[in-house]
Amino acid sequence: LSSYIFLLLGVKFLKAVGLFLTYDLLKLVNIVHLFTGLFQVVMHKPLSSGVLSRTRFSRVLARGLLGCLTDGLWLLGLSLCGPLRCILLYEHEDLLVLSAVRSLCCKSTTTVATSSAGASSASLPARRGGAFFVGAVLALLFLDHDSAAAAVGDQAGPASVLGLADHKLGLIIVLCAALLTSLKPPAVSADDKSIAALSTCSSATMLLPLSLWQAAFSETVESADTASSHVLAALAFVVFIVFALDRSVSAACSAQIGSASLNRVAFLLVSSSGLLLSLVWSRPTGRLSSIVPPSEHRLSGGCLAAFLLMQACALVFSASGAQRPSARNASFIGYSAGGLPLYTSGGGSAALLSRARHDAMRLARDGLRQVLAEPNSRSIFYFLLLNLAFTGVELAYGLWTNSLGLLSDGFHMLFDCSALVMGLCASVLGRWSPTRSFPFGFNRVEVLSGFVNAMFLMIIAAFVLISALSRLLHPPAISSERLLPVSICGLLVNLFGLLSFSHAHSHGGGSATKSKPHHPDSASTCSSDAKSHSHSHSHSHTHSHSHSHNDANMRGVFLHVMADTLGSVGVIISSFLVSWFGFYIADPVCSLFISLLILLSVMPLLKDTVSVLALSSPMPEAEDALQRLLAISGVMRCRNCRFWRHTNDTLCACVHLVVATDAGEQRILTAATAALKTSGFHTTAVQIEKEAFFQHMSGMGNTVPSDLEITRDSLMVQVCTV
Amino acid sequence: ILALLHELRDAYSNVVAFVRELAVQLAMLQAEEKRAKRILAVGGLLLISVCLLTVWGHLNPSMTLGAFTCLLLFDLCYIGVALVSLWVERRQRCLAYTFGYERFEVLAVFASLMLAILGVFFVLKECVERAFEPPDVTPSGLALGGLVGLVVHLVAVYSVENPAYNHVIDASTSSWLQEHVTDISESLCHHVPGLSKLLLPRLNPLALLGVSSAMCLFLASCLLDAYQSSLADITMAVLAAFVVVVTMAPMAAYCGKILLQSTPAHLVGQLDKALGEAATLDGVLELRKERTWLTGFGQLNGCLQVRVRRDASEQLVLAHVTNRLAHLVPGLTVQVYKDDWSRGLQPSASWVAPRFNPFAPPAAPSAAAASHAVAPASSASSFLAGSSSPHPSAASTAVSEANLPDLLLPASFAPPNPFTSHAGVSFMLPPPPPPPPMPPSTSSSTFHQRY
Repeated sequence: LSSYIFLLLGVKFLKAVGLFLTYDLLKLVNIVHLFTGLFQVVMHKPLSSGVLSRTRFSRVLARGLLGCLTDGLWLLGLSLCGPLRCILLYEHEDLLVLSAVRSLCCKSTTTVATSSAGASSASLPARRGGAFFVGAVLALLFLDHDSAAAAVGDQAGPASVLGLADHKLGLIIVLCAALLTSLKPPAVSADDKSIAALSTCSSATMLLPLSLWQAAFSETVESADTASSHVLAALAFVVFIVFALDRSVSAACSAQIGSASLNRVAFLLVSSSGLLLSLVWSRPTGRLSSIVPPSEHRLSGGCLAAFLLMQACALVFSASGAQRPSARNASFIGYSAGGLPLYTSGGGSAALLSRARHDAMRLARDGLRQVLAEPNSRSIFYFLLLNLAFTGVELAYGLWTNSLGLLSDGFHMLFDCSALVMGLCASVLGRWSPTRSFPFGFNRVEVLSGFVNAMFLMIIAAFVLISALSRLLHPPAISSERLLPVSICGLLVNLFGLLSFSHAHSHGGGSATKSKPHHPDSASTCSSDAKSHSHSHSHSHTHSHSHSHNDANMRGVFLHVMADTLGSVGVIISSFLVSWFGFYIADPVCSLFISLLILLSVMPLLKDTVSVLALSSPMPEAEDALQRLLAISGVMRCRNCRFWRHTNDTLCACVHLVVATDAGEQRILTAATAALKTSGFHTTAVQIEKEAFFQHMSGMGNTVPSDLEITRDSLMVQVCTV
Repeated sequence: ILALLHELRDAYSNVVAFVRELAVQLAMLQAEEKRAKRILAVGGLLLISVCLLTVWGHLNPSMTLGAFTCLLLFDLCYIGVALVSLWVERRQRCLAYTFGYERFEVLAVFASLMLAILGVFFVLKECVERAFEPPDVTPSGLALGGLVGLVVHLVAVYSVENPAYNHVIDASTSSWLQEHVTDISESLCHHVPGLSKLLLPRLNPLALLGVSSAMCLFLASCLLDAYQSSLADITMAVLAAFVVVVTMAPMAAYCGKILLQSTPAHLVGQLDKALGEAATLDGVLELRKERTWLTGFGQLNGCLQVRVRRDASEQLVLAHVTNRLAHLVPGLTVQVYKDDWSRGLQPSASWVAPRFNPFAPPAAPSAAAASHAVAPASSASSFLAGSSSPHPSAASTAVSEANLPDLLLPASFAPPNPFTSHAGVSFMLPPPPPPPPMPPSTSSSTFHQRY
């Protein structure tokens, strides 16, 4: 085995040398490939077995076309981006690119089809390998210093048409070539080999006119004849090493070592020798130096990073690919009668993709139906659509006119839409029915979303506050003239949302908000906003104890829209002040004021949601319920009572009542449930305990923890301490 | 305007009162607890470094540094959570918070995680805006800032005893970052077994987060040094933000589930087993509407309704059921009830024929299927086909009774339930005990499974 490895080492080193030589030669002649095809024809004697049949001929033609395409691309890429980068991207044969692409494509499908047990564990390293691969390509693309030199060096190159640097285009071309290669089935049998040789030949003949054409118009042709013997020698070396010897040796080795590990070792060898060579190969060696220009694609930090990343990627893929070659593209369908898992093999990923698409379609349709089923979520959804349309128009216009201010404002709006999306999700989720692990249902999601929205607003306000403070010290000279129409449009959109939401969440009575200001007069807009805000505020205050539809989620969304409105009002006011009076300080002062306003208006929502989420007792109701419970005849004390507000309008209670020994349990249960219901608690559980219970419990060795005992006397004390 | 001012003054005075209360509580804690002093010292250190990094960020507007500052701000919240759990430890249950104050811990952890995520969201927004108008970012001081920040972060994570966060880190699912690091270190330990003691135990995600953010910062500094393009800084900031979100999301999901009053998933099996045992106790007919939820980290509460035989001793059954479930659910409320005889005798105008009752709960397929076998085929199929049935009168009465059981039944028998009636699994007695003569109508779905 080790002899094979050494053989491989030698051959790969030679191949790297050959590639470097090829690169140099490519500057002279473009017909390397033709010689290769001829050589292979001679070596394999494909025609010895007889005349080609028709089907074989067509196969040869098809493969020849493919090979022509790949090889042409590869040679073009090699001449554009230099040997080292080409080695890094192309030399790992089919394994690496194929698995990288597959892992990247399957990323979406595996998350959908997690039903197959192996998929999640197998996809983890594969994904990492894909990330490495992408990182390596990105490093080659963006971290190379080569670009500056190359771009300045040959302005006349073909790549300058596309506005890319030479080597970047070369990289992309090589990547395409590598993808194409991975599509080609590997040649295995002798028959296949002869076909491969013939197809190479045919592709070479197809490439011939191209290369002849290129040779005819190349400038270096006239200097080539001066050293044609050297060129021919080098050509022979390249043809022999790169195309013939390498293939046969790796075919022989793959029979011995196994293709996966061979790929890994071969890639390691060839890339590291390429790295070494690129260090020493500063100029073309020997006599060729006189006719060949010095190479310009040197080693760089980006190359080094890409080298390391590629090695990691090859390691990961060869490890994961060796473990489970078949389970990758098979999809789990069920269990056999014997209990063994069954997989379908053919077209697994395609089936998965189509299933995922189908699932996504159904999910979208169901989601839409759920969204439109209820007025709250419907209004959020429509407003979200309006906002998104506005943002889209703004972004498109920004792109059209190339205005950075518009673009960044559009993205700002997009971020603001995230709060709306959260509110929408919460209002849909909140109507889901209870499950085993969510025994109360999902109503609390709306409270949670209100809480998160409140925190979001607080962060926004804090950021605005900080930036306003820092601008207060150094007021910058702003020119927001161009943003003025945009902010007026945004104000109109937000006012529309404000009206619809205030209607949705404070049932009528919002007469103060009805005076919609169509002209962006700052004072009246501000006051009307403030009124609507104060109105919602007072609404929450006065009705928080009764069972109104006081939805925390809608309040959060409402406050968010209001903050947006205030923001655009602030922009309008400050731009008026700046343009008319030149008060540059107006902008930070305005934003300071707005952020304080947002902070203060968020406070009540935050307080309410915290008290719901922290399971505080609904105070007058709990006290009332306790008084009623203790008034039932036979009840001695209330032990371990629990009252909480499940959502804003659902109150729950769990009470332990200690009753007299001679009291009727069912009667007290009925009375207690009725009492709790009168006090407003709708989900109740009442545990009736007598002295016998405590005796039984101590008999079983359990102690009953005594906490929060409330009798008629201590109730007043407890209430007073609260 | 006056009303507005009044409101604002109200809110302002509320905030001021809250802050004063906070300060008073903090002072009390600090006076009485040695741990609080230490926490406050670390908090002071954090505050200083946050200020340092903020000033640094002002001089050098790097987004990666901004993301790292966000991480340090999160550390401040982390310290705050430690203080909250100290405060909670000293509070007793009272009438205002009948579950005790443990929920505040959960809420504090959740709030800090969400603040981190939202803060990072802002960093992302800034990144997008900067991508259009890139400012001049110099690499000077980035690495140093990262080093200082990393040290402070690690000090904060490892020196402060934070039971709430420790619990969340232990109990939540591994983050994406953790999984990958574990995977890599496993394969590393395959080759170098000596490292297994260091690498194989589950890593602290917060420490991991700090290290990876600092690495992003170093990388950004290197790239800025080499390429002078602010795009590198933005890319690294996005990467750091992504890492933060990925780390925080599983923990936030865990806390959010607690806040939503859910049963922890790992306890569902045990609970079902214990409930199944309780259902076989002598005298128990069925268990229904069992609900369990976590109040704090690990404190399970629950309520349960037990229907017993008419001749069973309620106190004995109560004691047995409590005994069975007490080790799993310490705060359990068991409502023991019997079938009410008197109710069956009262004539009720809205009563429907008993055979329609099984169809009542729409989400009990087994009950519906079982009754499908015995019920007249026409009415059953018409109900199962949906609300648009060919027999509107029969089906609509059944449906209306299904939706409004509480209106039809006396409060004594079926305790009202604002949620739908298919809240959970019901546990039946496997061998049918001598059943008491049933009143001809009940709305309980489980009841009719036996017929």
